[in-house]
Amino acid sequence: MRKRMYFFLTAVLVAVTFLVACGGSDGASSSGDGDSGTVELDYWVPFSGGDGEYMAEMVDEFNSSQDDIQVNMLNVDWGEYYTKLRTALASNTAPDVSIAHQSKLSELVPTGALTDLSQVAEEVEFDWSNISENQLEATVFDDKNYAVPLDSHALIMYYNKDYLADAGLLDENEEIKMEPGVDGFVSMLEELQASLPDGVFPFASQTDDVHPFWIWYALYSQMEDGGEYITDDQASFNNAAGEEALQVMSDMTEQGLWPKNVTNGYDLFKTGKAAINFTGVWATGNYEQNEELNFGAASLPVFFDQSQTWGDSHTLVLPAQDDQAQQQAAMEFVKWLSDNSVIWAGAGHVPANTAVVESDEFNQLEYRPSYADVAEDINYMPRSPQLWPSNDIMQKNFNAMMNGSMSVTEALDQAEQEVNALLSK
Amino acid sequence: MGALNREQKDMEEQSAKHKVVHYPQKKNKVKRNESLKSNAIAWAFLFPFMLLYVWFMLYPIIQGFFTSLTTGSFGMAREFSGLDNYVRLLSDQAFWQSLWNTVYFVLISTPTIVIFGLILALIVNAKLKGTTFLRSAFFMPYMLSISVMASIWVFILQPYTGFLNAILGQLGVSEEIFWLGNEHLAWISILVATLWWTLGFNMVLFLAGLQDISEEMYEAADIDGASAWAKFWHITLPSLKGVVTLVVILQSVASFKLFGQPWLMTGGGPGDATRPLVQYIYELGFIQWDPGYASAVSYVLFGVMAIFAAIQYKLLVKKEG
Repeated sequence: MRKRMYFFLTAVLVAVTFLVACGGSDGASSSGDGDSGTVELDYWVPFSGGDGEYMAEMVDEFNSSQDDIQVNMLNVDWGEYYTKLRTALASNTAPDVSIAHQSKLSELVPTGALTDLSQVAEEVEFDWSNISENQLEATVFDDKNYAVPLDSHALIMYYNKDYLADAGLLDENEEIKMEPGVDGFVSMLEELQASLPDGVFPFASQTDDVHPFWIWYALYSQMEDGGEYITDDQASFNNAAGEEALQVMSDMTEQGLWPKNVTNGYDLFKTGKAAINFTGVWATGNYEQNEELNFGAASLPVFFDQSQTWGDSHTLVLPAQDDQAQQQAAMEFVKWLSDNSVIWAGAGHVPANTAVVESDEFNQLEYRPSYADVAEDINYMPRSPQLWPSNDIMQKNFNAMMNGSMSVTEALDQAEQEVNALLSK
Repeated sequence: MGALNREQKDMEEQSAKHKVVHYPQKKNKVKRNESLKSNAIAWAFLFPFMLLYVWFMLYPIIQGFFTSLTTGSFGMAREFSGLDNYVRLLSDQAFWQSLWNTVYFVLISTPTIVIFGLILALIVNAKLKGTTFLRSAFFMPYMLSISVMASIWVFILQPYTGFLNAILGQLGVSEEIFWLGNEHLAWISILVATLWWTLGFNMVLFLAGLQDISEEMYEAADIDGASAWAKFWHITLPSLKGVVTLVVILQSVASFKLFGQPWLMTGGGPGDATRPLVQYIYELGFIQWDPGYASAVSYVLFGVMAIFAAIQYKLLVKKEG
């Protein structure tokens, strides 16, 4: 009798353990056809703050616009997003649709886990010609479309109209009056500095994150003999142009126009403690929340030969799967997102769908139309599976340069050496 | 595992007793059966834990070793590469730099935590008013999660808008101090944040040790006219040797695993100045997607920790004996 009890107890414990262990994976793979004939799609995004709200709004609107497809959005923390996506791709637990940055595609495409969209796009009559050329080109690998660009988000210039007007630096269109070139920009900053109240910086972009690298990349791309970052798996930025671009930034900090160790560049500008700020277009949605802030947004000034900037795109990708119906539904959703990306422009991004950018609806938005053509100026980053780790190396060394612990040439030499070591692995 | 061992030990002790008392053979057998039964029950209760333990701890540890012998990007075909990864790290500057950073933190954090933990314990052990409040106040930070702790310190230490620099400004310090932007200050900041965060726990360990010391020894010392310092030096400290050993070993193992504080406070910067080995492993594994090399570095960290702990144990435990 007792023996049986023990046996029974053990069996129960074993059973419970297995149930617990299996329960987790059960919930994770919930995609598939729902009960009522609707297709359920899992959709992963890495959007915090305003971006996340606009995307949630789009998903809600899509879900209520039709009855056949139900999209379940999972908003993953930015820091963990690609870890989760890449591991999910490797273990066949990826969602039906997900966001991927253009700069991440050269890492994701070689894994073979993304679907070539050519065929499924045809099935839902997706019109590739609507997507702006610069953005589309950046997502083609071996003549195949692996992604639908949703937007482009580039580095642009934000300026506080009140401070610039006080310094007499605004023209009748409320744009900044300045001579072209580095000198023009710097002397404008100096003039501005003279009239600013105490505690307000003429220029402040964050210096302890990726901003110095982005700004350098934009300036470097503006030079005719610049813009090369990684070529044939080799670092190709440690040259006269690269040095000149970085020197501009170093000089700005040395002259006290750009403070050192800025850890909250967004807040400084948003709260009126900085007159000019270079950052990504996504800041528009953030800055306009402060109703007292009278600001303008424009493409970066031309410091050198041509109008170019750093930028990236959010693209939509379909992880590979066998279920054709599922993929087709996913592509329907992608098409809808692209066609309705004027909602997405609310977050500050420039839609990649040219029909949307030309629409009245977009042009009635505040701020966004004034920098919409920046999309053509983006010098997309080179294709390398090690692009992101390489960017981390650049960021780290440039930050050290910005806070004064490295010289311009030291930072470039060190970064070149580390990037080459990384790429040779 | 520990519970099972204890079970066996109990059995041995029992049979050892039996030998002395000479229990009849029959009764002994019954006893042994019962022990076996309780052994089976123990296994049944341990099974769920053991299953998860083997599944999520032992298997990955062993698998990690085999991974360290391979090469290839994550999720793609892996190739056997023998000891290549281990050879590679010998000439990897970033590896040596981050290994040194980790060792450096162990060296600066362990003694400070032992000393300050002991001081706090002595304060709350003194029969003063308000020690209950102090005890909970000192312990409180330990209950915070690392991200909350780091956010608080970043808020305090950040330049231009930070709390500390604002206070220093009021006191007349006109220069902006970059607590997290300077190599040396960044280490000090990480150390101070870690101290504030973990001292409470070590204080509790010391406090338990202090309360175990018999009052009689102090009374005897008082009769002999010993000074407070002599009492501390000759009674308190020697009696705490066991606790000190425990804290030193626990703390240095924890310090070897340093990751969250620099990751959240400095990002390993400025440059690579505060990047510990665990962060380097994370970057190799989940940013560069090189699991083979990341596993190799992890095994080196494991080896270093094992050697360090063994040496400490030998030295400290021998002294005690």
